[in-house]
Amino acid sequence: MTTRSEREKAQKLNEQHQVILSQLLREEANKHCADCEAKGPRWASWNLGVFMCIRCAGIHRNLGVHISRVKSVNLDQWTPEQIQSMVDMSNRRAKLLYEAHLPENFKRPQTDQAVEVFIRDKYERKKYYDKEALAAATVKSSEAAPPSSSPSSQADRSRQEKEREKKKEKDGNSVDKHNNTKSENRASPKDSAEPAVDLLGLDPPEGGGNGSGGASPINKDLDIFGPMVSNPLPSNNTQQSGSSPAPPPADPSTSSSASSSTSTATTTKAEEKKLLSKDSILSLYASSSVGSQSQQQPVTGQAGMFVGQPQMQFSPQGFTPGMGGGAMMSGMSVPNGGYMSMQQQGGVLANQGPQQGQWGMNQMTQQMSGMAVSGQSGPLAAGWPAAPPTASGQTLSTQLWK
Amino acid sequence: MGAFASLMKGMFGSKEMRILMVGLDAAGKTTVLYKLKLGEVVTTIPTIGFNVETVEYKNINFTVWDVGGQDKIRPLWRHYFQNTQAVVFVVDSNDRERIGEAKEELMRMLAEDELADAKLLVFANKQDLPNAMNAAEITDKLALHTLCNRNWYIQATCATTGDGIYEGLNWLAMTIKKKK
Repeated sequence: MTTRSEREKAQKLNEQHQVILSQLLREEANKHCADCEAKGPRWASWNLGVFMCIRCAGIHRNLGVHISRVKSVNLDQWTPEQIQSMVDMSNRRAKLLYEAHLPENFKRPQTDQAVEVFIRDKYERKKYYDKEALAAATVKSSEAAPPSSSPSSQADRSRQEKEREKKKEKDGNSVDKHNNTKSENRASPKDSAEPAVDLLGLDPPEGGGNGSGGASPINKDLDIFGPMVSNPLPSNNTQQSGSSPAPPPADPSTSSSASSSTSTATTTKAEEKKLLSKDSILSLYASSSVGSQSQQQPVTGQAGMFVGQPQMQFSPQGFTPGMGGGAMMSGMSVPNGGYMSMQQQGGVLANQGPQQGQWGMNQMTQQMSGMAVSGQSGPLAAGWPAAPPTASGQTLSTQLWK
Repeated sequence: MGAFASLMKGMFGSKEMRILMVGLDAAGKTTVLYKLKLGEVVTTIPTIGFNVETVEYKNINFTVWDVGGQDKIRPLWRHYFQNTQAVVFVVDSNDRERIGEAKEELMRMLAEDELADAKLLVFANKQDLPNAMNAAEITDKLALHTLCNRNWYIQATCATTGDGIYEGLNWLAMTIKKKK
C-alpha cells in the first residue's frame, strides 16, 4: 500500500500537472479543438499532443490506442511523460505537422460522421501529414526571419495585430469585471473549498501586484513545486522562445507571455523569469513590424495574459444559470436533442477555464442527482445515494444519440 | 393479486439481474451497452457519470449500469456496488500499456465486501484491433486464476461488430438460472 507521504507527493505532482495543462490551454492555438475547432477543449490525445473537444475525444478513442491515447484534462491523472508530450507538441505545432497538406479552402466538417472521416484521414491515414513541415518551420523560426514574409504571412500578421488590439480592448473591460469579482470572492468564505490548483492557476499573476492576503498560500505552494516543475518547464521555455516567430504566426506575444506566465506561476526564481521576459521581448522585436508598438507589446501582451485569466475565473459564476440550462436540456429525452445539449454543455465548459476541474465535477454531480461534492476533484463526499435513481441515469444516455 | 402476480412472474415471467459494467476509460463500455440495447454502434463520447439501460435476454431483464472510467471518477464506482449481482469488467485488449492498471482496478474492486457474491464477467474487448491480446493473455495479465471463491468468466469481444457480447450474457444467464 502507498504511504501517506507518497500519496501527498502524487497529489502535488498532479496539481503541478494541472497547472501546466491550464497554462497550455491558455495558448491561442489550444483554445480550440485541434480537429473541429470547437471552443475550449478539455480533452487531449497525449501521444499526438493535441487538445480537443469531448466529441472529437470520443472519435479519437475509436481509432485505438496505437494511434491516439485520449485523456481528460481534468478527470485523469497525468504522468510527467504525458505532460511533456503535450508541452512539446500542442495544437499549433500539430497543425503544422498533421495539416501541412490541408487545402487552403478546406472547410472543417461539422457533422459527427464527417468529423470522424476527417480525423481518420488526418491521423490514421495521415493524408495531410508532412514531417518536413514542422522541421522546416522550426528552422525558419530559428533564423528569426519574420520580415521575410510572403504576402500571406504579412496578411496574417496584420490580422494578428488587429486581433491583438481587439484583445487589448477586451482586456480593458475584463479588468473592471475582475475587480468586482475579486472583492466578491474575498467577501465570501466559500472560496476555501476551491482547490489550491485553481488558486495557483488564476491568481499569481495579479496577486503579485496586489500583494494581498491570498498571496502567502500561493507562494508556499510555489516554493514546493518550483524545483519539481523545473524539469518539464525549461524545454517549454526554449521551445517557446525559439519557435514563436514561426511562419503561421501564432501570436508571438501571447505564446511567449504564456510561457513567461508559466514560469511566474511555477517558479520563484527571478532570474529565470528575467531571462524569459527578455526572450519574449526579443522575439517581439523580431516579429513585430511596428517599431513603436513593439516596446509596449511585452507589457500589454503579458497584461493580456494575466487579465485574461481573471476573466476565466469570472465566467463560471456568470454562467451558472447557463450550466443549469445545459444540464436540464440534456435531461430531456429528445433523441435528436441529445447531441445539441451536449454541444451546449461544451460551450459552457469553454468559458470555464481553469476552474473546470471543479465545475466538471459539479456538472457530473448534477447529472448524478443530488450528491454532495466536497469541492475537491477526487473523492466525493458521502450522502450520495447508493443506487442512483434510474430517472437521472437517462440523462447521459440521451446525450449519446446523434 | 400481488402475490399471485409475483408467483406467475416467478414461474413464467422474466428474472431480474443488476449488472455493473466498469473498466478503464476507453475500454468500450458504452459501446457494449448500446450494442446490447440497440443492436447498433453509436457514436459515443467519454462517459462523465453513467449510463443505464435494461436489456432483455433469455427471459432475464438485465439492468446494466455503465459507469465512466476516467481516473478521477473511478472512486465513484463503489457507489454502484450495492445489490450488484454481476460485474462486467471491460478491457481494451489492444492497450498493453494499461493492462496492469486494469488489473489493479479490478482487484481493488473485488476486494470490496459488497461485491463478495457478485459474478465476474470479463470482456476482452477490441479484438478487431491489430495488436490485441487474446483472452488467454488477458486472463494471465489480470491474474484471474488467482481469484478464489469467485465465479468468473472471460469472453473475447468486439463491441463494434457485436462478437462475443451475447456469449457473455449467456454465461450470466446460465449462472443466474443455476443459482435458483
